[in-house]
This record gives sequence, structure tokens and C-alpha cells, in this order.
Amino acid sequence: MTEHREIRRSKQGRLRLLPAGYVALVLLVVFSLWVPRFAAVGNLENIAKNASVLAIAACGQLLILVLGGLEFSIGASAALASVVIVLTVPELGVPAGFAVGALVVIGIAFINGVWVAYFNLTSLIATLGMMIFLTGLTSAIAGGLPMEAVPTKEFLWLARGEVLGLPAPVLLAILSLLLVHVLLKHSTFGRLMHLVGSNRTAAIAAGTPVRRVMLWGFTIAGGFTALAALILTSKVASGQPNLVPNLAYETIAACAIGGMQLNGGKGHACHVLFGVAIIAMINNAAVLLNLPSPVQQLMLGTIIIGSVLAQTKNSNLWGVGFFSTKKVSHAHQSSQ
Amino acid sequence: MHISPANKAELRALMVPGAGLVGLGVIFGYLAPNFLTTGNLLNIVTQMSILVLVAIGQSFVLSTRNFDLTLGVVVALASAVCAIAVNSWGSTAYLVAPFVGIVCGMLTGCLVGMLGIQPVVATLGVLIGLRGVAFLVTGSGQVVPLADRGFATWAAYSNVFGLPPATWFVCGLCVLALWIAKRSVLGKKFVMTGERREAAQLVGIRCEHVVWKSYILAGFFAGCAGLVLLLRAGTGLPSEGVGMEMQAIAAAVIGGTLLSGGYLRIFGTIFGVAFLQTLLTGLNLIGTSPFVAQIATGAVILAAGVLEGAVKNTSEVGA
Repeated sequence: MTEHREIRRSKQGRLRLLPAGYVALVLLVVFSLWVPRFAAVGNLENIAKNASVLAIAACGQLLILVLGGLEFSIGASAALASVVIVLTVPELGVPAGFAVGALVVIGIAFINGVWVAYFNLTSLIATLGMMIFLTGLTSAIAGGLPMEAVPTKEFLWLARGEVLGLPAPVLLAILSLLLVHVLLKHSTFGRLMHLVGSNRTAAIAAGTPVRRVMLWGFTIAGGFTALAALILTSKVASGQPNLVPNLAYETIAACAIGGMQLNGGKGHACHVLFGVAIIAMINNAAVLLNLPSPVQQLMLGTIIIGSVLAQTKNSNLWGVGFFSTKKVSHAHQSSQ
Repeated sequence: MHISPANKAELRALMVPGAGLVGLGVIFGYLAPNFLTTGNLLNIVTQMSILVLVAIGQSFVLSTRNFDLTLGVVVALASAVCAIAVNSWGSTAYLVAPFVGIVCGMLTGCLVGMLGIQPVVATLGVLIGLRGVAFLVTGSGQVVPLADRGFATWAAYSNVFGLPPATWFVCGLCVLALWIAKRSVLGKKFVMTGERREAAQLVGIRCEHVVWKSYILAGFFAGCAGLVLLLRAGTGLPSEGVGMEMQAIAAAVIGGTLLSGGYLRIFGTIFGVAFLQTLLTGLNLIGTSPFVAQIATGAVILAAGVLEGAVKNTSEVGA
């Protein structure tokens, strides 16, 4: 039951890919061969650009999921940040305005962490209440309508600028994924997060400061949400109460498609990478093939469930005998 | 009269939303003179009828320590499919709505119960897929007006013994839910499965089936909510119901259901919905903007969560 079973170096020292990695590769090959204009460099860059916001936000969600929680308020707090930024930029200038927006998002994540860690709230309820609260607050501030920003070059840089030939959002997404990987796998704090998420009783018994780990886990996750919110605001150049209402759902879906088991204590940056890549490629191919959006949604739903079914080794599907192996059927028996 | 400890705990949990309800009545009765009129109170009862069905369905799923994010879209899908069916087959096709809900519940329940997928992922996948289906069957999400609104208007707006027939239908379903929770074997199995799954399995309960049935029941109630929505609106609304599943979870928590499973408190859920609806109607009557109502709803959910956290064993941390 260790998370290292999913990705581990085999005896030869080769890195074994997650199943979702193979799915992503197959999709890449299939789409490149059969979908016209898919493999063009411009299009691939476009996919990476579109996926980067989701990837950064999903890094935050990944941390919460590792802690065994759920975070539903990220879409609402990103919307609040966009409105705050549009309101403050004329007064304070672009860097300070964006910093205020980021602080708002991180502050909200901190409050969520306080609810969950110190008031024993279920994260579902805490973030759900926060989501509804923030949606109302943002609409009240903005009067229910989108607020246009002055699209200066500075304001748009975060979404459209380039660093070393890479689009800035893509670079930030790569950095976020690396950061999350180092945090989860190579830092004491990350290992504590795994411990708290997989077995809280054991964590308490081992003397882990469980509440503090949860509080700071939520806050760090808020940092990733803040980055995603800033890029989004710069992209749409406006403050919108209804900016990304489904961001929470999409990020959870990305982690699940990437092969993550959501019951806490297991998580890897590759889950986010592959999950987001699969979603982005499918969305892009559907647009290129001119599929209507309902069909796209239907496909996405099927893929979420299908990929989770295929990757849940301990699910009953394997035990029932569809793909049963000796090891898994043993695990199934012991769970009864 | 002897009251069992479980019922005593439930009565105690009822006191919070009950006191809140009385408090709201006093405050709004003072602020808005037309709040405490019979007409307005009956209005509240009628308005909460859709959410109360969804929340009851959600309570069954919550009692087995799962949750269902699809219920909002099931309401929309049921109303749209039912409207199409009624337009082509006549009034008996109103029975299609609960049937649509049951089919959706069977699908979700199969994924969660039988195949053991995490409820978040399974219901999220079904949610996204069903939204696509709802848009496909109606052709890019247009509303489906009923060709003959005679029955719908009678059911939703006429007055039979003081309330519209649709509201009486909802009351009947509430009684059915109470019977399932309090008197049926299935209700006990829900609670046992949610409280301690291993123990339930040891005494011979097939927990996979029990979880499956809880999702089917939830689907049935959501389908009936879709029917009520169709009757009240006179049109099938395929894009309605966004976020309703969340309000349903909130109402159940306000009514004293803990998300850690093993609690099946239908009365509490009804009280929770009544509390939310009274708050919204009252705020509307004293003339605040709908955004303020949203802020208040969020604050109430957080407060209910704090109460839940205080009830829980303090040694276990949330998440």
C-alpha cells in the first residue's frame, strides 16, 4: 500500500511509467496520426498553454487530496482574486495589484486550513461553505457583472509573455510540477503530509503535529491556486464573478484520470501531469474534429470513469474475476 | 413513554435547526410585516419542495458514508426527458421522471458500490457525462416546453386542501422516506454500513448492494424532484439544478447528519432545508440582494460545519 508501488525504479534502474502515462502517450500518437493539424508545433504549444492553468491549480488540489481532503472553493477564490486585481491595479500598479490578489487567495486557503485543522470541520463542508460564501461576496463586490481591466502590456504579460522561448504559463506550470514533486517526495513536510493523509491515528501516535501539517498543507496549496488565478486574470483581462466555476471539479478529475487514488496519502506530481495532458489533448482533438460540446462532455465523463476503473487495482472489478490475479484476489479476501 | 438513545440524540440534533427556524421567524417577522402570514409560510413550503427531495436522497447516500454529486444534474435530466416523453406519449409519461432518476442512480451506485470507485471520482465522472446527455437529448440544451400545460398547471398551482397537489406529492414522499429510515430493514442496513462497514459485513450484510440501493433511492428522489420542477416550470430545464447537490449536502449537515456516515436523519434534513429556504425567502422579503443571501448561506454552512466538528470526537481531526 505504499505510494512507491505506483512509480518505482525497477532493478535495471529504469523509471516505470504510470498506466496513465501510457494512455497519454497512446493518445498523443493516435491523435497525431488521425486528427488533422493536431501535431503541428503551433497546436501543441496551444495545448500546453491551455493546460497550464489547470495543471497549476491541480498541483494545489493534489496536495489537499494527499492530506485526505477535498477543496471545492478554488474556483470561487480565483474569481474573487480576479475581481480584487481588477479593482486594485489602477490604484497600486500591476505588480502590487497582482500581489494583493495572490494574498487574498492564500488567505482564503489559510482560513480553510484553520477550519479543517483546528475546528474539526470536514473539508468538504468547509470548502463548500467557503465556495458559496465567496461566490456571493464576489458578485456583491462586482455587482454581478464582469469588470473590464485596462489591458496594458504588463497586465497581459503573465498569460502571454515568453521566457527563454517558452510561454510564461507553461514555464510556471513546469516549475509548479517540479516544486510539488520535490515537496511531496523529497521533503520532510511532504512525507508528513503523506502520513497524515494515509493514517491519521498513526500520525498522531508518532507525534506528528497533525493540525499544523494540515494548516500549512492547505496554505501551500493556496499558493498554487493563487498562481493559477493570476494567470487566468491576466488571460481574460477582466474581473469575473463567474470566472471558472468548475475549476475544483476539473482539478479533481485531472488527478483521478492521472491515476491517483483519492482516499488520501497517495499522490505524485505525475498524476497531475498525465491527467491534465489527457484532458487537454482530448479537448483539443474534440475541437479540431468539430465535435459538439455535449459529446465532448460525455467523452470526458466516460474517460474519467474508464481510466479510474482500469487503474484501481484494488477495486472489486479485479477481484470479481475480470482481470483477477493471485495477488489481487488475496488482497480482496483480506479486505472482507 | 420510552425514547431510545438513538432517537434522543436525533431529537437533540433537531433542536439546533429548530431553534434557528424559530429565531429566523422572530427576526423576519419583526423586520418584514408580511413574513408571518399564512400565504407566505405556505409559499416557503412550496418553494422548498424540490430541494427537500434532493436533500432526502442525498441523506440516504450520506448515511452509508458516501456522497452523490450527480443529483443536481439528475433533476435537470429527469425534467427534460420527462417533458419530451409527455409531449409524445401524453400525461401517463410523467412517470418517466422517477424512472430516469432510478436509472442514473443504478449507474452511479454500481460504480461506487459494486466496483468500489471513490464516490468523488465516480459521481464526478457521471456528473460530467450526464450533463452531456442532458444537452444531447434536448439539442444543445434548449428548454423543452410542455405542449399541454393543463395537468402541470393544475398540479403545481391549484389549491387542494390548502396546498397544491405537487406539494402534497412531496409530503407523501417525505413520509415514505421517514418510513424507510425508521421502520424498514433497508434503513437499518444503511446506518449499519455507514457506521462500521466491517462489522456490517461480518453480520452478513452485503454492503456493496446496500450502497448501490442507497444511490438508487437517491436517484429516485432526485427524479421525483425533476418531476416537481417540470410541473412548476411547465418546461423541461436541462441546464437547471447546478449546485443543487451541494445545497442538499449543506441542508443535511445543518439538520445534524455527520458526513462520517451512520446518520440517517430525515426530519433533520427537512428542517435543514426549511431553515435554508426561510433564510432565503426572508432576506428576499426585506429586500437584500441575492448575493447577500448567498453570503448568508455560506456562513450558515460553515456554522453548521463548526457544530459538526464540535460534536465529533475531538481526538480525530477533520478532512
